[in-house]
Amino acid sequence: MLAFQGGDRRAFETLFARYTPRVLTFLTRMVRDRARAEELTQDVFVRIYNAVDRYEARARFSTYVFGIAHNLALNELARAHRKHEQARADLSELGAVDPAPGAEEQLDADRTRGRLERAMADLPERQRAAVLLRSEQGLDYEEIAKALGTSVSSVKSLLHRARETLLAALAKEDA
Amino acid sequence: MECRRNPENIAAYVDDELGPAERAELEAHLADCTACREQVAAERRLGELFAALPALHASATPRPAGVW
Repeated sequence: MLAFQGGDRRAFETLFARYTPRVLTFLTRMVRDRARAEELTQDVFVRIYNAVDRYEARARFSTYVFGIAHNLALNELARAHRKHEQARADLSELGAVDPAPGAEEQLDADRTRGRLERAMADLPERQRAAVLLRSEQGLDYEEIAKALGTSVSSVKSLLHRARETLLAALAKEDA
Repeated sequence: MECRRNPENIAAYVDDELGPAERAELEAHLADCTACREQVAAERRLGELFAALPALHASATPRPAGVW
C-alpha cells in the first residue's frame, strides 16, 4: 500500500490480486449472497483506491481492508434485512455445503460442516464477523479489534459467546 | 459438571492469545478441572471444523471497470 501511495500502480494490482479472495470469502459468509459479495468486494477496493492519499500505515493492511469490508457488510445486512430468508437460500446455492456422495464417513463430515454453516448464519453479525476474521482469516485479537472498531476484551467476549452458541447448536443437532 | 470460572479465557487460550501469567494460571486450573479441559477440547474441535470448511472458490472477482 505504501508503494501504491508512492505512485506504483502495479502495487495496487498486487494488493487486489492478493486480498480479493480473502475479502470475497469473508463478505460471502457475512452477507450470504455471492453476487452481492462480489460487488461489495469491488466496492472495498474502489474505496481503498480512492482514499489512497488518506491511508496511514498504523496497522497491518489486512486490518484496514477487513475493517472496510466489515462496515460495508453491516450496511448491506441492514439494507437487506427483509430479504434474510432469500439470502439463506442463496447460501445453499453457493455449494458451500458440499453434498459429495461417497462413504458414510464423508457424508457425516459434510453434514457437520453444513450444520456449522447454518449455525454461523444465525449468529449476531458482530459475532459472525469476529469468528470469520479469527477462524477463517487468521487475524489475531488486536487486528480483529481494529477491524471491528472495538477493544481486545470485547473481541474475547464476542468470540467466546459465538463459540458457545456454535457448540450448542452442533450439540443440539447431534442429540 | 460445569465451571464458569473464566470462560472467555478458554477461547483466548485456544487461540494462543493469553499472556504468560494468564496462560500459566489457566493451565494450572486445567490440570484440576475436567469441565474446562472438555471446553478446550470442544473449542479445538470447532477450530478443526472451520479448517475443513470448503473454500468458496473466491478467486474470480473481476476488477471494477474504469477505476484504475
